[in-house]
Amino acid sequence: MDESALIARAVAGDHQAFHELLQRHSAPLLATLRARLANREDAREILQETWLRAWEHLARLREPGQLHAWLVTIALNQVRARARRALERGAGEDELERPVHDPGPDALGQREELERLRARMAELPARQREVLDLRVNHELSHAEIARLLGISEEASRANHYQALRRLKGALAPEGEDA
Amino acid sequence: MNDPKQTLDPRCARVRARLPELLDDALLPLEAARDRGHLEACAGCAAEEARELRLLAGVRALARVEPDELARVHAAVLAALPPRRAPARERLWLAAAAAAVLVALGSWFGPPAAPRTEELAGLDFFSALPDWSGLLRGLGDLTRPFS
Repeated sequence: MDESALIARAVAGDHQAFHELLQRHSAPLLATLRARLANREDAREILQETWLRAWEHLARLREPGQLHAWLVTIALNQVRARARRALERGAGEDELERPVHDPGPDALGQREELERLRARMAELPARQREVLDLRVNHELSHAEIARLLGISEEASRANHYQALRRLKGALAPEGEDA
Repeated sequence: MNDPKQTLDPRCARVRARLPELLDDALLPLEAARDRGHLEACAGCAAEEARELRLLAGVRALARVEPDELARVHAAVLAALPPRRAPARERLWLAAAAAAVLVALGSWFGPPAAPRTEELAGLDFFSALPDWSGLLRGLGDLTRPFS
């Protein structure tokens, strides 16, 4: 079903339509939250809270095509709010936002390559990692990423291409890393 | 072993250097068409493009999440959804309907019944009127000095 129709039905209170939206958009959101938070439970909690806020404010969404970018904004705002609260409590910054090194997919027959890629991604500057995730996993445009992160479109593109160039070596055969 | 970068054709070097932009649809149409034409003809560059695509697939693969984990979150979300409040326009209609019902009930139980025709016929309207004669006499006195 067309996404704008699903949104309209969800705004009218249709749980089934809302469930369909959950199924379409949750996976990249959870992946992003897991990559940013110290534990999986926090990531799941924020994803849940993101959807509850979306349910509450869905009628305010003017452009249905912007749903995913809107959800990412809600999720990232909550990550930031949680980080602020933790800082106020006196938690160390390391405790707030750090990538989770979970075992990841190993049934692809490319485990070593993916592990190299994961390690390279962890070495990327945070901004490059963030832009790469939003562009590749969330398929946001550079204009949307720029709005979301408060940077220029040009900066979004530059971060994306630099990240890809840095990561490329992870896929080279052993001994030929760039 | 020769370093492939040292012997790379300048056209290949240019196409490979901007593969991320090409795959991101960020090149001008003419440049993109030229690079795509080159990729069709050059096996080495086509392999580089495949590697670039594998890289993007790898980034996506690392972001994959388990369906079970998602299903648990979805179930929790659906269980916690508060009921929808009626939208503002709908609330306005409800308020109007409620007001109409109150008016209807009010007219049914509320004000005293109007007198019936036979009761009206029995009333002496003229005896209920004020005595205007005194007022008229007074007015006559006021007009006398001018006559």
